[in-house]
Amino acid sequence: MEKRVVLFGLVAVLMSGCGGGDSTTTTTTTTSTSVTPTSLPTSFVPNDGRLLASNCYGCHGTDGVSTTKWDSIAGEDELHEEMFESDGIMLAQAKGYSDDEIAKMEEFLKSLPKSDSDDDDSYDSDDSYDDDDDD
Amino acid sequence: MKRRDFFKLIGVGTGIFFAPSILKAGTTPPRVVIVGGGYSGRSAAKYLKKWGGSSIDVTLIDKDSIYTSPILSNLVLNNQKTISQLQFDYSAITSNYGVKYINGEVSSIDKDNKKVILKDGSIFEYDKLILATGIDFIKSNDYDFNIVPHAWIAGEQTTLLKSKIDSLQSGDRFILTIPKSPYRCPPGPYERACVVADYLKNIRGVDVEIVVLDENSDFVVEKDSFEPAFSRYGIKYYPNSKVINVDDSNMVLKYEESGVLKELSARVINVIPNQKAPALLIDSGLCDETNFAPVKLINYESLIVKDIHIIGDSHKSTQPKAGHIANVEAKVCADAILRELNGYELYPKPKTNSACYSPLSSSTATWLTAVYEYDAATNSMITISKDAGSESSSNYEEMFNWSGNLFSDTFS
Repeated sequence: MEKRVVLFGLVAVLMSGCGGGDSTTTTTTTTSTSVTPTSLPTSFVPNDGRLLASNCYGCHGTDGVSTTKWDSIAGEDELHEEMFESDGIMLAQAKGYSDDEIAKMEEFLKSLPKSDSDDDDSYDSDDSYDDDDDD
Repeated sequence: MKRRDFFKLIGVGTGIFFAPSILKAGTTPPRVVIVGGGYSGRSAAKYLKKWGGSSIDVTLIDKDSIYTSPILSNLVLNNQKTISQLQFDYSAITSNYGVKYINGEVSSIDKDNKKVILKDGSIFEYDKLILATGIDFIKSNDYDFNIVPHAWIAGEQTTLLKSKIDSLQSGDRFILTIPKSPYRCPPGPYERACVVADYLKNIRGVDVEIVVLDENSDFVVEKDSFEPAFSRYGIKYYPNSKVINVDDSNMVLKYEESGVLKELSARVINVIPNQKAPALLIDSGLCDETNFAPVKLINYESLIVKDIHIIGDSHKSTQPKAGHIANVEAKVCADAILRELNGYELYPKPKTNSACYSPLSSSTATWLTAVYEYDAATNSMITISKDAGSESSSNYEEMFNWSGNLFSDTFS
């Protein structure tokens, strides 16, 4: 954490050096975080499956960990079957991806720790998405 | 030697101090500056850091320290949500992801020297700039949004419109106008008409005439759901109706319906104006004749200015202007920027998707969804799959499962 504080202090100096006035320095130092998240990577490694799987997160949560009654998909190792067994929005989404794309998504998702919220009680038994036959 | 290897060599990350002149020589992590903290800007900031970590420096600038989600904001009008339930500060992306948040308003972009200049005079240099600036309005004439609210940028405008709707009594008239497409949230205006009609009729028990003037020739989306709901509520719907003049002193709206000039007075008028990218983008020469910014849809980089990326409602494409897909566009953009900065090829066929629930009352909703794929030959996003639901109470419950995860993926 100390390292980040030093770096941010430096950024404030740099801002001043770039023509920013005092207000810039003040704003920067008062609104920037001084916390270094420990779980973040130190370098970028591309991952096609990770990019494709991120399309799922708007409905299934970041890294596939749901915060609602909808399924978590972190740790999912039967993604294709899960997608095509559904209906409604999920089935329409399933039809939008090729088998190869779904395989890449699954390869990434199954590498993630399975979430506690990925269980039958959280979803199907609640007259939730899978039981919806509106379309 | 890659930039990050040099970085390790000189000891950055181990607390060693070095002079700003070296910083300027390009030995710091690449700097991405993001303007706008809505669905697209917030998601881009989060995923740049989530996937790039300490190898990238991300600063997000927004003039408002609290963002109010337009998604679900129509439910404030009928008391199903409070405005505070839709508001998000920047604590999550700063503390969880190390994004730097600046509370400030951008005045201009120095494209040649790659700097963003704020109204207070402060300057931010960038290697990559992401403009996630949402929409601005094209007014028919000069009138006061405090008298005739748009409520299409959520927050104070939402609560203002709610107070006006709450003032309506039996015998009054309420006019809602729908802008010419493309505009933010295609189902949104129709959704609002239904939610307000249900609220007035079934919750408040007042008999208010509701008139919807649509500049488009028909329901833009989900006609199978909205048309029967309009009929059920007795909403008077006039397509091909363009707003010509808003008289906020006398509360009279002049409009042209299929070429014929007409006027109508009302107790409450909610004009949702036609839309464009904000002046910052237009003044910076980033937009074309459509007043939105054309981009390479593989990475959302401007077709006009290198190293400026435009995501969300400000960019020009066939994708809907909406929060869910803005979140996805941001991830495609973030991944592409990280690949480029680290010397990798871009992912060749990025996909985006959209899902959207629309309430039609205080207990029913419908939905719309689509998947898009990048087509290099035409630089466009082609629709691969799409579907729409129908009105049901179960969809109303599902709406909150959807929005809950969308909110957490974007703002947490």
